[in-house]
Amino acid sequence: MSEDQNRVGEVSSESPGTPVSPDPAVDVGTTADEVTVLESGTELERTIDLRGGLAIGVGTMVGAGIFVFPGLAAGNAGPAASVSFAIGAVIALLVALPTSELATAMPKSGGGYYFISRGMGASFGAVVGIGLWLGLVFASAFYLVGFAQYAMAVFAEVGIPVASLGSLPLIPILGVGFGILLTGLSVFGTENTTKLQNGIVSLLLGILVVFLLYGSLDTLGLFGRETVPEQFMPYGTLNIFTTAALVFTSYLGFAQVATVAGEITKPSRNLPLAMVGSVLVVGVLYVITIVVSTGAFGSARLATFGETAIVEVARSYLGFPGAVAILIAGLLATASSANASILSSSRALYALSRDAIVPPRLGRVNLKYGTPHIALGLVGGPTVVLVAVGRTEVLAEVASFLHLVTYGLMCVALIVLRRSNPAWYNPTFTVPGYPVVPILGALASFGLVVFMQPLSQAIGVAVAVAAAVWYLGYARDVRLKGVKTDA
Amino acid sequence: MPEDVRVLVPVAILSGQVIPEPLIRFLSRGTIVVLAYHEIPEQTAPEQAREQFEPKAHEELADLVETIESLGGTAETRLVFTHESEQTIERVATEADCDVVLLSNPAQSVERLIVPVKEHISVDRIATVVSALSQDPSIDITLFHVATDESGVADGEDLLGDVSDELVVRGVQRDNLSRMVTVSSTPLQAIVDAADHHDVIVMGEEEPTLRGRLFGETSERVAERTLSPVLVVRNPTEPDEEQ
Repeated sequence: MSEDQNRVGEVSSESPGTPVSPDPAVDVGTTADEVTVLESGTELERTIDLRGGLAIGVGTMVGAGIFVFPGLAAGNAGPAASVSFAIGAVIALLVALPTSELATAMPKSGGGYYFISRGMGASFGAVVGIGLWLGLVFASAFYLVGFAQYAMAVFAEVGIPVASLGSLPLIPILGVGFGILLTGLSVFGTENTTKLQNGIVSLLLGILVVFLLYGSLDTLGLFGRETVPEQFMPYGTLNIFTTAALVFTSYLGFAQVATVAGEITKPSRNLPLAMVGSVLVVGVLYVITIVVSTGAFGSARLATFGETAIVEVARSYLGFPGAVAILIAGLLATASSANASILSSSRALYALSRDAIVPPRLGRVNLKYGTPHIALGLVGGPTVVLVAVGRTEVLAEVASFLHLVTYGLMCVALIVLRRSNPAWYNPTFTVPGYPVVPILGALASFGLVVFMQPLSQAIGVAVAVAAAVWYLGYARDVRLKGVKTDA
Repeated sequence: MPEDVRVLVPVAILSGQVIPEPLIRFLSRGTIVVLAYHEIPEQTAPEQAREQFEPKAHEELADLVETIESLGGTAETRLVFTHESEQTIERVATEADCDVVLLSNPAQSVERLIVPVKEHISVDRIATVVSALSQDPSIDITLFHVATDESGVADGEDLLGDVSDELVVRGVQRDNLSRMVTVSSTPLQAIVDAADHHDVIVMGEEEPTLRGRLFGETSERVAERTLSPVLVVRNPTEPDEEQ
């Protein structure tokens, strides 16, 4: 049994107004490699190993960066979109390192919400928690739209004349239908899907590595191909940054590993490895994807293929079999990203309900299926509404906006916790380069928001304001143990 | 005096799983470690299920302990919320230093034990467990071996003779012991057929890997295909840990 106890408080909302005990030692248990033992003696098994953690991170992320964004990003920034993806990876790494420290100090469900509420208090926590819930709703909707576009591309490939149904909004219909299906499976499905998820991610990585390796060698001219000659930054420097802001959605997955921190085996080792590792894996894949894609067609032509541009890239390199493989991969990747986001979002709601920032019944688990049906419904419902009305770019940017605010605040929370150094704060992984890394992480996260479209910024701010209003109206009396209250 | 034998009894709490009373009475000659587990799907955080179901689980667990004590046993308890019960059973079996893991099935009575023995299995461990649980003269024990062809019959008889001697040394009445060697190319089916006429099966683990030897192994498949409970005798986790 390891010594890394964490003693972060639970909520004491039953008697609002009473002073909080300065001792945060509420029953949060002792962390060992494979289990958390609560003080009541009850044990919570840890069942997600490093491979599972990486699969969650990679599986959540690859859906967007490779299968939705290349065409859009190249249209905005040209071949320099690869730099935009690299910027995203650097920001994600700057945040993943502090997140790893926080997660090893607080290996509990809830991720960003939990860290910020314990570091900075219930008000910040409420805004972030609600922001994360809705941010993941936007992300799920974005992935579902991507899924629908791949489904359409499959129809086109097998020759189903979808164009003749031109009057019907097929993409929203497919996206909504699949969104309802995924939510239903989450509520009623009791088969454990970890192995399936691991298998899907391995298959995806296999397809991508073959495709990108061949594409890279071909782009380098090894097979006699001539790449389309093009200026590296045809649309200027600013567009590199706006594109980085747009495609940052491709990195909203590493922190999902932290939302299941309570279930990761050997958390002090596996949490940092899973988070940093998944960012590195997808970051490299994204940059190569852009190089290969723009090498095949040139960015202007690539942009005309829209969200499923990568299918045409695969076709140009590997012919029909390549296109089929990437279509299948695209369906799997967007579906797995959507599914992972829906599940994470429901975890965020649970963490809020546990602290009574939203009504506790939202976190109820039904005995028959053992699933949090209300929380899942509160994720799936808004998601399909957004699928029906949303545009890819705006969905992606709002999702990124809400996550970036959380990421920035997580970096701040780390600095606050390091400075106040409460007795329970004993991370087993410490961020290298403190305080530079978390400060840069916070600045970069907040800075990227500036480069988004005004509409996305407005929606993001509106969500944050609505969350603050909710907090003031509903949950102002909530006191979290383990947090210094200045009241 | 027989050594104390620690028996892990996994119970899917909150799902109405019942451990038959005759079986509890039988196992009460050792120390019963009740592993109450509640398996939850991945959509749900274990702590989320814990908050809601812990009181009910404690209640059911207390009832079970009361039953065990009323039947003359002593019980230790563990309560675990998990996504994977197999991983949990493995972990707790090791942590709680259990000699035997129960794969539960209904049991009307426990009077006839069958102990399938094969080569390369720890005779000493099996003898320890069987002798500790079956000192009672009302329990008949069949030592059982499957030879894959006629040439293996003599070796099988020798093997069963060794086990039989070990048991007698440990205080089991020779009158209660019988031996049976069968020739079959499908050992699993032979065990299942022979188990029909018995109440409880006691068998050793096979593979050196934890996961392999507890699950998906012969013992588990036997438990799936018979109506009798199976007691799986664990190999020592680390040889030097044992006395």
